[in-house]
Amino acid sequence: MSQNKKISMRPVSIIGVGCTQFGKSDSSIIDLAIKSSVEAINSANVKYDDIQSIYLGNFVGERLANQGSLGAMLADRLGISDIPATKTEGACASGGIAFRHAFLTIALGLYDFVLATGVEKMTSSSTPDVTAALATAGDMEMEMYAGLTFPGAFAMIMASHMQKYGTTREQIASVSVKNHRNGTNNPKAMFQKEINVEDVITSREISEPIRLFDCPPISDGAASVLLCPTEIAKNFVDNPVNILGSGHASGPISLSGMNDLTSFSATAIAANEAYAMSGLRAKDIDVIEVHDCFSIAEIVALEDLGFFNKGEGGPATESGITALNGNYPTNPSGGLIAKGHPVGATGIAQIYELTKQLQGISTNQTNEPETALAHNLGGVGALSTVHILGKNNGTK
Amino acid sequence: MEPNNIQAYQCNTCKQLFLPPKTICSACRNTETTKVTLSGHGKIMTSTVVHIPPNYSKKAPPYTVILVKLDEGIPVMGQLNDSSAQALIGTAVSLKEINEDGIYLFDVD
Repeated sequence: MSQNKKISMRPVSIIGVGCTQFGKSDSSIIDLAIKSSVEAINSANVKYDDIQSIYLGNFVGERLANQGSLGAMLADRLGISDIPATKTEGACASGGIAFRHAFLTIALGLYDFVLATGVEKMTSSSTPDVTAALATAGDMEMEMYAGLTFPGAFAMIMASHMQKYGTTREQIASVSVKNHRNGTNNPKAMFQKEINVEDVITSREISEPIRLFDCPPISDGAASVLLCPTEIAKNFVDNPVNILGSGHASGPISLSGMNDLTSFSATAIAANEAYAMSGLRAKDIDVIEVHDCFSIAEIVALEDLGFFNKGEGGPATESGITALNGNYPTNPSGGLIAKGHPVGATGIAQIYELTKQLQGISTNQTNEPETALAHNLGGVGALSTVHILGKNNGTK
Repeated sequence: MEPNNIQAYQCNTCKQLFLPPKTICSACRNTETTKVTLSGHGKIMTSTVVHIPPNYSKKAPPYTVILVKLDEGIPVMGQLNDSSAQALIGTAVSLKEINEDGIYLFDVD
């Protein structure tokens, strides 16, 4: 892949964040988006009329909530209907793409204040309808119409990882156990109850070897961030968080196109781009939010991001390295598995949690983190975004 | 199209095989292809037993979906004809038929 030519980018900061309760909501899809957007705008202390652009991440709103034009609709409802508002779609990484584009337009000097919101409304639809909608993240003609589902595709990844590396059922279940434990301290999480390994491996079969507690719940929710140039961030808030690196890559949309059924190339490529921009490596990261759309996905992600060698993610998780007090605390929010996975919102909800972590005010605070990494995955590795954030220690 | 053979497409220039027909060869970007018939024999790369089916599947669960690497080197997604058969990685399988929904049904050899 050709490397971007060097262009002048200015530093960008997060000055406002917002996130709704994740779970089953009575609110409409647009009302969810408004709620998190208003929280982000108010916490940033900016005026509505200062916002120059909106990016809105959403995957299945047209299909499940029967509403398109969500970007323009959000601008209109916020009373800023004359600004550009762009909906981004990249399956479950729709939010990560929205965040990246908000960042890029400021970094490149186009705008000073940009809102990025991610939203999904899923619980009003039946499980078969949600299953069918999510399956469109894969290659329908080549693979899904063979009777495959999205959990089925990840079950195939899980079977491959177990076969190739000897990763055990218990090691994979320990991802869900850890994330449920983290969820107990997140008041916005859909699940706030501890479970054990036995609960996971005896829960209902979804698509073998994936069981119910290996999966995130179908949920409603929205999350938002407000960004501005770092040089003016402290004019608005005392504790901005800096965006140090951003990466975005595509990969094969189908399992048939993967060279290795235990690794997503898009994650590794996006991570390398973000690491290069930030000058940091995996060992420099203090707190992590990864896309645990299934328990096995967290293990694959941590390996692809360079935190562990291939095949070492399972034993590392079981030994507690990714727990809240471990070397690489992962998914302190509870992750998708416990917090919930309103797909378009997920990428920005990760940024919400990591911003709070770097500000030292998360409800599940890790030990004084200086750096953080967010990993968002779309489809069965069809695309990925990776962002690296840093605590603002400057005096500006 | 013959009902019981997997039809693939081969790039006329670089001989890459692919399914389904593509309007461009993603390896060499040539747009001329030739239809070829594959043996239908291969090995299971990975599998899953689906218990919660999507609304586009007519098959009663549980059923087994398999990713098969055909002897010609390309992977295809299909199902085991006999849901109760073991679908271990590396097991040799052969195409039994292509059903009315276009799904490749395989038998364990």
